[in-house]
Amino acid sequence: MKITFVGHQTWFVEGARASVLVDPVLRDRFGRTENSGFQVFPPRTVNASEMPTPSAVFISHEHSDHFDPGSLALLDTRIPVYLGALVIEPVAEVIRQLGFTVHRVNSGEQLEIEDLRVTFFAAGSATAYWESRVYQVYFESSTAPDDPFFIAVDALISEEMQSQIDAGRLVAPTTVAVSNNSQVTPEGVFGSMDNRRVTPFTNPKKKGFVGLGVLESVVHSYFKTHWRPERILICGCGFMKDSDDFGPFPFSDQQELAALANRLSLGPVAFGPLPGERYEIRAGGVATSRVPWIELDEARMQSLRAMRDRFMASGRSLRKQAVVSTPMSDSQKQDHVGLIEKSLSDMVSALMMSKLGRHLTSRSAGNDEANASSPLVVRLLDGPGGEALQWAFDARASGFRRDKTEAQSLLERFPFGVELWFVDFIAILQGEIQVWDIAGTALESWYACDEFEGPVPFFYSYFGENTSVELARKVYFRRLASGETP
Amino acid sequence: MKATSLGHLGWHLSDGTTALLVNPVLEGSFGSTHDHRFFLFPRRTIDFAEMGHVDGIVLTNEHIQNFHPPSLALMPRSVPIFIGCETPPFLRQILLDLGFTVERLGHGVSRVVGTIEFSLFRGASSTLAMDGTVHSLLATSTQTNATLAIQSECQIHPDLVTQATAPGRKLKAFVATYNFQLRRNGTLGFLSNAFPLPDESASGFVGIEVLNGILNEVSEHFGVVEAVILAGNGYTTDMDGQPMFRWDNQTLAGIANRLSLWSRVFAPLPSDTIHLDGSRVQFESGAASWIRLEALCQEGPQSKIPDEGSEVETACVKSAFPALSYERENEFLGHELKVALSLLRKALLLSELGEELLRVSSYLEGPLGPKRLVLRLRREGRNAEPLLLALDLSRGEFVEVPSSEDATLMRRYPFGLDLPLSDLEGLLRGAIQFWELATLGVVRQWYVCDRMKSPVCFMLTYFSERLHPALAESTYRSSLTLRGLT
Repeated sequence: MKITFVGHQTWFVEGARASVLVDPVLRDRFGRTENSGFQVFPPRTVNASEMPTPSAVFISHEHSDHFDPGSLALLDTRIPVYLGALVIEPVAEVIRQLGFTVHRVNSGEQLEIEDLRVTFFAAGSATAYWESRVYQVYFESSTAPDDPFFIAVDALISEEMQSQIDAGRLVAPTTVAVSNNSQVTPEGVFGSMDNRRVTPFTNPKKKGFVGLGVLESVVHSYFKTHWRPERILICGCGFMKDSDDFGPFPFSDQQELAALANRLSLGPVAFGPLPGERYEIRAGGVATSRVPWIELDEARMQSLRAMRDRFMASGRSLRKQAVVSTPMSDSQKQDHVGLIEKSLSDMVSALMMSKLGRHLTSRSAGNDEANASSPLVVRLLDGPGGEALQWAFDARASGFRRDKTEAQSLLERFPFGVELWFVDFIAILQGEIQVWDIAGTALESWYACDEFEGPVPFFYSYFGENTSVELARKVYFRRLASGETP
Repeated sequence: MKATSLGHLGWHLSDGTTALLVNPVLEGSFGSTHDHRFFLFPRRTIDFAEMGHVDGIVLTNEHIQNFHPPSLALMPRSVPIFIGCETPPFLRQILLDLGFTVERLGHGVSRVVGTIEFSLFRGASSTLAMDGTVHSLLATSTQTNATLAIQSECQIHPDLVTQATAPGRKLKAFVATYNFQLRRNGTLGFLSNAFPLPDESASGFVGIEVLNGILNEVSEHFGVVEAVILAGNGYTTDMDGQPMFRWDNQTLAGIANRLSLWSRVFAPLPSDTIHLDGSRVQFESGAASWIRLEALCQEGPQSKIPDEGSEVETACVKSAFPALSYERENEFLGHELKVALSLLRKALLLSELGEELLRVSSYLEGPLGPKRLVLRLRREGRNAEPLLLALDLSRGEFVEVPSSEDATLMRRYPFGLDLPLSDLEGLLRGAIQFWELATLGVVRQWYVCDRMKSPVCFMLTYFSERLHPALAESTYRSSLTLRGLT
């Protein structure tokens, strides 16, 4: 079996007579294209016309770093596209619109393509909600049956695959691609789930031996309750945000991480592939080479890394700004206040049933009639008249109400808060952008709970594709209509 | 100070000339509708005129078994009513509209009326979400310092323990809530799983487990308490006054006392009084002459009760409301149901039940597609075919399932909820509460997860007073209207 790393989390897997392209992001960027998209890092050019035609395409889930209609449009529409059963339907609709035939697969389902046998598995059950629809993929080649390859993709290892291995129905994969999704930001850059609150709950991402923690979680504890593969291919963190001029993420240099991991290994070998590198799994070993259809821009890669190092040495901070750049007049903003209040009202029951809701309602609702406590505030910057507008969640009355707390008192008054731009929130509610477009860029929060149960994860879960499918559909088709996709 | 049982979780507390009522249901039954009532068990009549004056009323929560507006309407408006910090605003408004003065007490904040000092405590964070607005009560005689703690339907908050055991107070008795609703036929009532699998939570010596759980919780918090009083499960849907639940409080108390070295457990019937002021807590049977037990119970609560294991008559209730007219059904299906399900689906996806839907990837017929939960809405009369709506996770919405699948629903879908369409319509227009529908036995479910994450548990929380205060308010106002007490 030959495994080619295309970039970020895109893989090209070849058997002797068949091949599968996984999560094709073939262009040099993905996501929003207006002024806030993502550039693939390390930079590379994929010459799709020279790429061997895959026998099938598999898309693990709907996030824009895995599902890129612009990249799909570069492929022959006769190639069948496979999607997991839980991947949202608008993804399938877009792919069909591009001319492809979509095949849905259930967890545990197998697909035979010539000498390749491909099995799809639903993500492990403890995976974060917004990644819970991910399907992982297991490859076996009839020519090398003892060396299966598994792409773990953005999720915990599937229990179903584990049980099939335990039952002897599958051979434990000897090679696994894991994603390093740490997305650690330098000091001075607020990370997507960083916590403004200075409390014992403060996100420790930037303190201490952060990289060590990332490495331990990716190559070691990820497999703790499972088998241990012989080879681990580290991918992920393979993009830079247009809005952040610090360059690539710290601890996203997978080669360096792999080299350091190997110095502390008693057996397994980690690899940090660069785009274009091909790993040929052979009995007893692995041979590496490069494919001619992917051209790595090594000079730019080094230059961007140097830029990051300069940023980190400078002590600079990045100023957040709205993602939506189209101006909105005060009267237009005023007209949208009703939409915001309706949307917040509609959100209440889901909020209260969520993990965050359990934290909100487990706090006292206040000591007297006049002072009902508000555990959460939603603050929108640059509303009508340039003023911030904010709504406090009243746990006793189960609703949001306008709030006038001064900015400097917010952290003291509200244990939980989320802040974003008025125009961005409107754009999310109208299906013009996705919550991911402002994640780590124009969305900040504070909280008094586990980082995966705070306001930003709730926003990911509630406004993300898995819950607000209708918003995702609007975004996808708006982008198709805008001509982004050839 | 002494405490007299009014039945179920209602109490008359008195100390010298001071008298307080706690959660008074003074009539024989409660419920939102005329036709489907919940009768206090054992049945009793309260002679309101003989009860004597009352100095205050304390409401620990707004659940339908404890908040009974028609009973409150019998009281002089000069009697102040005290509510807790979590009590929803609608309850206060109903009482204000009736002409009462309402005082909201902060968490653990003391209030003195006559010679009784009392305070309300929100539940501990481990309290079920559906009981998140319930408070425990701590009452102390300022004359003797004798103290009584009433748990109500929440978990005990540590602050209550601190105050109850503070120097100067003598905690004489703790009223523990027995709320395990095992039906007399050995089923779990509305939590029963129609899927024919043995339920470990209703097997073996589960009665010992339940009793141990109740009493050990008291011990864990307070160490040795002189007297534990069992209360709860004091209602039935049976018009003839047959009990709904297995193991009445008296039976449990008798068993517990044979297994105790020092603490005593009391299970007062309505009219029985617990005296707290002496050196030892004293029990006086039938002390309150103004509460008259009906003949059945005066002969002993067990005397005419059917054998354990027999079916209760309530199992025959098919629906709380008659079939909808053709016009009303079309109107309901065309708009109200769509709007309601559109909001419910998002809350469901983000709930513990939603996590379970994502977790289960295979079922009886093999790998599961995106439809894992089905809503079966029964119809009677002219159009007897049920309406089947499945939650499609890939679309994030409920989609209609062909009625031809009806015979195989349980085999195809791992989660299901089955209730009459007319009752869902009644629920959504605020004519009845979900708890009532479930307790009446018109709701059926199946699931492959913990029962506390089951569809009925989701609905109990989703349609709780906290999440849907307007619907709850409507039912309580209806209960007044039914009695001409608007």
